[in-house]
Amino acid sequence: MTEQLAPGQQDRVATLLGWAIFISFFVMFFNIINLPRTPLGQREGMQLWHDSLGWVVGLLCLVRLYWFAQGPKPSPPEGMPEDSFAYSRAILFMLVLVFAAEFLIGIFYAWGEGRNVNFFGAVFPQLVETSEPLRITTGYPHSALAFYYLMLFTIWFVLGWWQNRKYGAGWRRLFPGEKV
Amino acid sequence: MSVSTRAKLNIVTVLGGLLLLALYFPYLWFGVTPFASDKEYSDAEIAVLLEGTDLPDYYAMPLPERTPEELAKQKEDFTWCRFCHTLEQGGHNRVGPNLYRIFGQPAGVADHFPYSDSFIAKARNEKWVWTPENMAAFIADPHVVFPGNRMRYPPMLGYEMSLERDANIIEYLLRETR
Repeated sequence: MTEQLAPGQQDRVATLLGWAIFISFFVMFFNIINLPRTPLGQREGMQLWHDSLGWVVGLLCLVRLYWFAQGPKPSPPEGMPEDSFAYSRAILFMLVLVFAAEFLIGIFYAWGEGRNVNFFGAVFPQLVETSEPLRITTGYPHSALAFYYLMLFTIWFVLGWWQNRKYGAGWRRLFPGEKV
Repeated sequence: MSVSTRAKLNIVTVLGGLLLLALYFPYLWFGVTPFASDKEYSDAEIAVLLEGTDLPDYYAMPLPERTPEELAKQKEDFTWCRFCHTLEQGGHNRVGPNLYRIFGQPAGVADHFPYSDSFIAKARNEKWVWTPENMAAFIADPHVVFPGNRMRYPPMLGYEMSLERDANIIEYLLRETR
């Protein structure tokens, strides 16, 4: 890509994808918080939302990963060293990667427990046989990666606070938008 | 973008370290493991585990008459257990094993459930069978009755244990797993 980006700015596609992932994940987050707090046997409706939003977030993240590789590379905001900027980019990349992994693992988890995966009512057929080992070995990382992205959120904001304090990088860049 | 090797190493170390920590969390928090057991118990194996016991059929015994309010209270008291256990015949193991017809069963015989070694050792050494009395003792203090077991109960800090709630849980289990 030959697009020239101003320091601390990202391109339009990355910006739109950032907003789309942020909003869809934000909605899904309430579902993620409440699903484990709902007793078994009362989860069907929430599970349908979980599956459907999982598709949305997962597919958007796969596109975003492609754009990480193929899209224009942003440069640091004025005054921020390349090394420090690389930390932010690595955390962001890892967040998107983890969301995409959660999506793929989640599908196999659903199949492992013998459940069809829903997309707003449209059923994606079960392609793998129901299997307790599959359910357990996919359920564990599905849960572990949720802890991981909570950690990534935390260090994203801690690092952003520190970068703002040290380099005056600004707060706006910690949320979706053109600033990185 | 030219990033120093030191920064790259730091990034890999921090993100990799956090990933390893995250991979430990489900075990720490929920007591789950990523590995299923391939163990299935036949009726003959269960009969061997029950040898020498002389227990009634708990599911043939009548349950006390309850008002709708009392039944609702029992269901409410069982809510925390419901996060981890299914009760229906053929229900999946979840964080905890399926509990269908648990009473009168030897401890640790749910097919494919990855019980901890310490749980199985104690269950087999003491020929532990799930009677209502044993269940009451277990849920009153699971980590004293089965040291090293992975059940995370009480479910949170500040959760007050109550004999009345335990009795409701046991009666609810008897009612719902028959």
